[in-house]
Amino acid sequence: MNLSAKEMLVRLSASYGPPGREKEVRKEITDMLEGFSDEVYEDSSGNLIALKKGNSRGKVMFSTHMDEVCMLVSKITDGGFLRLEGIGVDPKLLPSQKVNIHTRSGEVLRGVVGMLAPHLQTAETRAKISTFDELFVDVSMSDVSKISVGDFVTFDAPAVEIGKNLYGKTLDDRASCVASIIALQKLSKIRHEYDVYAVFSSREEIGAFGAKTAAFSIDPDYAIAVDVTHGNENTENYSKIEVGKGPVITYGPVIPREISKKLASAAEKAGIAIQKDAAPGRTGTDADQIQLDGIAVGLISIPQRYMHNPYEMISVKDVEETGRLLAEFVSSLDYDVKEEKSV
Amino acid sequence: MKELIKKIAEISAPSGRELPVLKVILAELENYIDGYRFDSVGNLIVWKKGYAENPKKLLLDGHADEIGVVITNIDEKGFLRIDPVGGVNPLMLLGTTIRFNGTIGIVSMEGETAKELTDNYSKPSFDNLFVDIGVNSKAEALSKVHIGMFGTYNAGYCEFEDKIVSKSLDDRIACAIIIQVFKEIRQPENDLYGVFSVQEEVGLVGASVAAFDIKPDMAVAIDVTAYSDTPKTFKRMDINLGNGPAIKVKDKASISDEKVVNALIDAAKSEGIPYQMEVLIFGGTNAAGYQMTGAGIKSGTLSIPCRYVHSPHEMVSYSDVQNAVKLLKKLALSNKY
Amino acid sequence: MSKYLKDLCELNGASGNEKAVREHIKKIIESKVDTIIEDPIGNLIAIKKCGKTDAKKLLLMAHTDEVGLMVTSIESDGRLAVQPVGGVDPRVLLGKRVVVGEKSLNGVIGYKAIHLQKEDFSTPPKWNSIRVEIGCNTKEEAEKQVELGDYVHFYSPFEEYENRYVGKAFDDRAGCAVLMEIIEKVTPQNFDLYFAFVVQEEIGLRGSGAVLKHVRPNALLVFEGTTAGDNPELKEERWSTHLDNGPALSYLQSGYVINELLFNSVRKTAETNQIPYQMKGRTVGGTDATRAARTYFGVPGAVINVPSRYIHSPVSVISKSDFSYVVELATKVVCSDDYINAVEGWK
Repeated sequence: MNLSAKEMLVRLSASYGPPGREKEVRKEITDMLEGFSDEVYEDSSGNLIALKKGNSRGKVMFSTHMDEVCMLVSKITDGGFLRLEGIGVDPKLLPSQKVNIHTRSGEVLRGVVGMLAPHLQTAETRAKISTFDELFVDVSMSDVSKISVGDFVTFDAPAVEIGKNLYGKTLDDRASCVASIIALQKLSKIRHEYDVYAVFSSREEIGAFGAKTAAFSIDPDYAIAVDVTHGNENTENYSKIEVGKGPVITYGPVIPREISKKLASAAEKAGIAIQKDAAPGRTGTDADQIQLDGIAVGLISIPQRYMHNPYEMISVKDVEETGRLLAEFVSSLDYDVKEEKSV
Repeated sequence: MKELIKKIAEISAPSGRELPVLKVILAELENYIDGYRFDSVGNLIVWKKGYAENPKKLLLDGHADEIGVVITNIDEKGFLRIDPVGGVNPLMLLGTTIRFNGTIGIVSMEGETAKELTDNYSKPSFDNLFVDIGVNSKAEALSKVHIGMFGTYNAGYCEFEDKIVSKSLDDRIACAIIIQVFKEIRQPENDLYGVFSVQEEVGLVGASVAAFDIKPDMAVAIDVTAYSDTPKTFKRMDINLGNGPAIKVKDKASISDEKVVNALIDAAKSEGIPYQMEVLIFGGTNAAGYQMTGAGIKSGTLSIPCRYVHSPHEMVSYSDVQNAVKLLKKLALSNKY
Repeated sequence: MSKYLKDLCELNGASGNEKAVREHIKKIIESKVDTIIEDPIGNLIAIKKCGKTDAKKLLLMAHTDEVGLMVTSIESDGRLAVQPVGGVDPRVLLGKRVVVGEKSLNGVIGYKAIHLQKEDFSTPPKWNSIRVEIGCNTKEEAEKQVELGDYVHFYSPFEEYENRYVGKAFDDRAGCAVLMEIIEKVTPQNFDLYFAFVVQEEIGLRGSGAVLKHVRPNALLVFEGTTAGDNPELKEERWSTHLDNGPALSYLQSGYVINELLFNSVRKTAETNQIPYQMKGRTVGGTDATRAARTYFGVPGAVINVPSRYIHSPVSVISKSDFSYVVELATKVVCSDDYINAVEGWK
């Protein structure tokens, strides 16, 4: 399937895939990969892995996570309202939100998160932020008997293009999945020495389980994790990243310096504008788990504003350039002499 | 089965000191298993071989350890200082007694002024607690205990109505359930592994390694979970003692694999066994350890609703326990993994 | 007197930047071991074989990294904003000299003059008031000298006194020095000895697990520079360890109860050989023994500590006699079969 970056982003943003429940995303990505990889398979952790063969001189793994932040039904009250538990969701975003409830039978039901009208508020209630302990979902428009504890709940926020940017749910980290697909598209047109394993990983949002187990079974020479990072925000003590100014290359202890430099020089050779950031500890991405397996891992981030929101903002250009950078990195390895890995 | 529960729950065996309970579990299982081994970190692994030509492997995990305390200092008068082993709320220690092998200690609180004492009682911490073992000097204390010695709640087993109460039902109840499943299954079609894992309470140590060599097709951790059926408890949860074992979808540490959740539900439905669905808003189980092992194992948790977890008096419903045995037996005999 | 400690401590190697330490160690031990492996994330593994086939394996481990800082932003006034690499309390940074970046530039962390302080006189400094001066007045000027992600290390020359060493990074160059002493002194007889100098302990035990890809040891022994709290402001029962009381043994730490059989073996070895030792009085903090116990097949381990005051700061203090006793105890443990056989106890 040959879709544009934007088309892929819109489709994947709409796909349903909380941690451990990424089936629909796997299906979409498998379709998108048709013609661009030698083999596509699902492993025992629910990762989708696309192998694009080179000359088998070594293995490079990409890791981009498929799962999204979400909520779960934790209780159905006697009055037919739902209580929720969140995974990575800011409860402040919930009041007056339309949500989708994904039932065990596969039906998608409508719910709305209630917010008391101003008239009925008091000075005291107006000053408060509701947490998951107070928030509830009204499902009176749906058949509550179809819902059970443990059903997943997601935002209903179809992606929308405004100006140069795209806004939508789950672009963390489906934007990176698209970058990975773009990289495979490019690699299918050029000769490259290293075999590429593009891992679309499972369950990042609850602890990067998928990246860890994929790294263990693939055991690559190099890995590149791709995730989103905060853009257009002033974060004290950190240098500012901007949406639309290109992929971000991370420097820090989790990433061997040589990998960060290799990425930067691959970008320079290909004329890809990049930004840099420093992560003094863990990166909060798949890279953390991949490194624990003793693998030299790099991290590229796509700048994103409003992370974990229903409308996360990214630049399509950044996504395309990230895909290009991944492909350039793989071909840059052709010039290296493969280091002795172990005894 | 109640006798079995009493027997293994009353043994004092905190994290890292599980051998006493593992020995009893092994003795219980004699004649009901095809083999066993202790692995490198001390997990007890037992198995029954399946008759299928290419048997699959199902792993049931219950952690053998319980929370406890460890002696970190002994002063000149023979009073002890302690640190927690696992998640011990210091509040739970006040008014109860601790057992260090044969030595019993009473937990009390420092306070040089009435205000300090009141403050300490309202905010108990391991920095202001001490343990009195009735001795008058350090030398006398050292003849009974030592720094680095582990202790547990000094609390026994009792029954009220359909409830069972004891220390360390977290997670000896799971050990008892797994033993019972092994006793009731003669020969399974597929391989059945039981793992009595160590050091869950300090950090899922045993589970992280138990399945690395076994590589099961599915792992089910059996553990206790919270409840929402006592006055003013978690309003966002719906877990009730007596409504059946709980099939976990999520806790803070992991999301159960969909295949495991479905297999457990199918097993319950096919036998008409009551069950409840669980979303726990805190906590974690060994299922997280199994999901992270090697290439990843399809794992989930079957929970036993338990009141007052990590207190000296943990309470479960006996019917939930019996239903869990039925459910796991059905799962083990099914081919759903 | 340790012949390795001074050089090891004066080298800079915050987590992720251990190269200088690794290369220094490698140069010294290379000719004294049978095999040496460097893995893709910077762990150094050295092997001394006993010559027997199917020999058991004992893994000794220490970490090469230390805590430090990283440049996370270059400010418009030419100063550098930094963030901690590992556990650094900003209160130890005020008025210190530091070493910045790959070019080892001199740097200073100053603090607003006492005259100008208001509420901040009595409150701990926040990271937004920690800025590293490298003699530049503009961002452009500073960008020619440093890059984002450059490391900043404590500047702290090593000093030696009658029964004290003063310096930085005893946590865990002291452990590295112990391993180097054993490499020098011990020829294994009945089992193979593996020595792992691992990276990134300080940012979450991140290096040690990968060592187990290269070796499946029967047992592990970790050497750590650990907290000593023996000072007049902390009540005695909370001291953790006491300088001059000998090697400190851990029985419980964050995330792992030390293997009982291995712990008992170390203690028995100390007692049999009349080597003084103390029990660590606190259970907070983890070591690589936690990581090894829960990685892949799981390796049981014990920990021997060198008590160190004021760790994770530019100035820490250890006792020479404690250090020597740790080396002596370690030597006795690795020269006997008791430790490696101990894990068989429950099988």
